[in-house]
Amino acid sequence: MWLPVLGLLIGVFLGLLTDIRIPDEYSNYLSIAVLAAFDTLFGGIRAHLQNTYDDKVFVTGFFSNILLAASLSFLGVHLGVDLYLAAVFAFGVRLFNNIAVIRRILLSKWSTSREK
Amino acid sequence: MRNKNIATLTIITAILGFMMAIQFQTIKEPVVRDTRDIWEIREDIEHEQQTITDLYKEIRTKEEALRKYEEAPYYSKYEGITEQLEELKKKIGLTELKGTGIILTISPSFNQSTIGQPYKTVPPDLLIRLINELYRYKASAVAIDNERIIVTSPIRDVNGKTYINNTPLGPLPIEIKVIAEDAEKLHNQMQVSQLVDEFFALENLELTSTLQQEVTLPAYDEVLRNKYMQPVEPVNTVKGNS
Repeated sequence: MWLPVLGLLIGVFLGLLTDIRIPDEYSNYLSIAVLAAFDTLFGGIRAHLQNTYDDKVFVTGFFSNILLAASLSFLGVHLGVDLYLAAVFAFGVRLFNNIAVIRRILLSKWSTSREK
Repeated sequence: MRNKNIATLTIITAILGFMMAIQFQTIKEPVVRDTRDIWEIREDIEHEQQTITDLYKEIRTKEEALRKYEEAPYYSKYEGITEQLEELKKKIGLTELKGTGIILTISPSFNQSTIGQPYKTVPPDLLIRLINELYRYKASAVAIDNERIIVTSPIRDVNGKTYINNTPLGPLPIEIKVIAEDAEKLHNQMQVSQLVDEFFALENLELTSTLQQEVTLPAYDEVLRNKYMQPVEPVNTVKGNS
């Protein structure tokens, strides 16, 4: 179970070591992609706790969400509409929902284990 | 959780971490260091102090004018306003101006006669550069070929001819009259100016400067257009003006 956390740390480490910088005009896309990735990750954790986790759904969801969010904000830039904000809003709300659900599940699990 | 699931999750989190690190690095701006040494900082302070004294001076003159208005009886207020109007007109170049200054003469240089091609006109870029140079050396008023240069004076090329204030420049030689507070200094500076050496030599023109005790500059004679200025609406007070 600690392997994913280790993976996260390795990723951060690699990113900091490579010293890659995105041009300013593209940093919007990357930030929305990071948000989408977070959303999918927490969704995956929630699904795992609810025993509805599916590998394929998770992986495809991860990549398609990132691409969709980035392309949506790209479209927004070219249409002159801040669709970027729509994506931020949608992912933000979902992120909070997922975290809330995870917290409840963990709480109920903890209380049942204490009762035993 | 099965091993395969954990492996995918690890890869996904690694990708996420990588993206976050890049985003973090992109957002984080390099710290701008102040690399000025003590002399540069001192110079900057001096510059700012000069600005402060200038501003104070301006405040004082404005306060003086205000005090005059307040103290003066009603009929002489008008006088004060006309006085100030004249002052402003003089400042922007709507009046004739006399003073010590220099006369610059632009004439064709000698090597032109050997080539045999007459020089038609002085290009506007050259004139603009010359004017900038003059103002840099503290010239207070400039007139080119009897056209007074004011803030909005256009100098441009129209069909190969140079126009100043929408009037074509006359044939060479051209006289440029300049009034300066320290005319002799300006004269000396124009003698050694790089502009004379390089630019005018390149264009086959010669620039000579002569010091004059009295130079008369004509007034700007065209209508001033101000698109963006409007008179202030009088404020209605209940009991009239006090």
